[in-house]
Amino acid sequence: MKRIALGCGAVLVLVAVIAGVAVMGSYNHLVTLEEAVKSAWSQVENVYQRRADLIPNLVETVKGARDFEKSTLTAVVEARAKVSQVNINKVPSAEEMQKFQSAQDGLSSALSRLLVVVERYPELKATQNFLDLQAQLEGTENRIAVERRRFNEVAQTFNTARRRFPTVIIASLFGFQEHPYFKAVEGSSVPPKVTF
Amino acid sequence: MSWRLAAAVVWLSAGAAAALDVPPVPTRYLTDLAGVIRPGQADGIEQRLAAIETASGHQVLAVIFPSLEGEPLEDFTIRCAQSWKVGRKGIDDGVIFFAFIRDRRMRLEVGYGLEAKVPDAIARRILDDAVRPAFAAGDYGGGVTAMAESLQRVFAGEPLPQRRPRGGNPDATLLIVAIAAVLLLRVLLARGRSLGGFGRGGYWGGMGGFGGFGGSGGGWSGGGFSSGGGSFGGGGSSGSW
Repeated sequence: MKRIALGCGAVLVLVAVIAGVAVMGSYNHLVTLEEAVKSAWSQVENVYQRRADLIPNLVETVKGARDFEKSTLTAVVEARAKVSQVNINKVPSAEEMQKFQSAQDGLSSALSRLLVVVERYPELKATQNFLDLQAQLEGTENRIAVERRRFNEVAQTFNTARRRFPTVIIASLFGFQEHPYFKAVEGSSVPPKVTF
Repeated sequence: MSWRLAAAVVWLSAGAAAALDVPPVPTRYLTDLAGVIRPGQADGIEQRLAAIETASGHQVLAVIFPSLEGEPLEDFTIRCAQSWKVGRKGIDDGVIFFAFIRDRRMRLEVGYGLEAKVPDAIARRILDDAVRPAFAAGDYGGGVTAMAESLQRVFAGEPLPQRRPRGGNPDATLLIVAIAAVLLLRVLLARGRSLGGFGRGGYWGGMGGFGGFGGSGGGWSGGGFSSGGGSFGGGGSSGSW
C-alpha cells in the first residue's frame, strides 16, 4: 500500500516537472518573440522620427521660393505638430496604433500634396538643396515602408504563436497581449509612397 | 475590420506570389542577367568591385535584370537585399546596384551601416550624374563602372564631381588618387595609434595598406563574391534613365 502511494507520488512529481518545463519553454518562446516585436517597433519609430526631423529643413527650403502657396506649407507644419503629440515609446495597443497611424498618414498626405505643389515651381525644383531633400524624403518613405512591413511580420509571428494551444493559456496567464498590425492604406495594395 | 486586416495580410504576403522571383545569392560581384555588358568590360567591373571589398571591406554588387516583370521596384530590391545579405554581418556595409533594362529603372540599395557614408542624396547623385548619362547612351558597362568609381570616391572620403568629366582617362587617375588616399590614410591612422612611439610603426602601417591594395588586383580571379550577412533597411535611392 505504502509502495503504491510512493509510486503515485513519484509519477505526480514527474508530471509536474514535465509540465513546469513545458510552461517555461513556451513562456521563454513568447518572451523572445515579444522582444523581436519591441525592436521592430523601435525601428518603426526611428524611421518616422527621421521623417519628422526632415520637415523643418524642407519648410525652410520651400519658404525661400518666391510667393510659395502658404496653405500647403501650413498643412505640413500642422501635421508635423500632430505627429509629435502622438509619442508612443512602447509597442502600441490597438487603440494607440490607430492614433499613431492616423497622425502619420496625415503627415504623409500633407507631404505628398506639398511635393505636388512644388511641381509648379521649376526654379525651386532645380536647386541642389531641394533635390537632396527630395532624395532624403523618398528614402525615408521607403524606409518607413520597409520597417512597417518588418513590424507586421514579427507581430504576426508573435500573434500566431500566442494564439496556439497550449501557449494561449500561458499567454493569458502572464498577460501577453496580441499586437496590432499596420494596415495598408485603404483602397490600395501598395505601400504608401511619395511619387514625384 | 477583419477584411482590412485580411487586406494587410494579403499585402504582406503579396511578395510570395510575385511574378519575378528573387534569384539565388550571386556568386560574382557583377551579374548581368540581361546580357548587356561586353565580357571584356564585365571582367574589368568584376575586378573593380572586388578591389572595393579588399580596400574598404564594403561589399558592392551590381545586378542587371532584363525587366521588373511588373514588380514594384523598391519592394523587389529590398527583398533581394534581405535574402542576399550583402555586407559584413553586424556592420551591414553592403551596397547593391540594380538595373532593369526594359523598365529603364535603377536603384542603389544601401545597407544600414553605410547610410551615414552614403546618404540618400549621395546615392541619388551617383545614379543621376554618373550612371544615367551612360545608360541613356546605351553604354551599360560604362554606367556600372561609373557607379563603382563614384562609390570608391565616396568611400575614400572624396567629394563627387558635380558632373562626370568627359574625355581623359578617369580610370587611371582615379586609381592613383585612390591608392594615394589609402596610403595617406593608413599612414595617418598608424601615426595616430602609435602616438607615444616614433614614426616607424606608421611607416610600416602605410606599406601594409599598399600591399593589401595591390594584391587585390591580381588575386581576384580565385574568389568571386560570397555574402557576409549584412542587413538592409531601405536606404539608398531610385532612378530612371
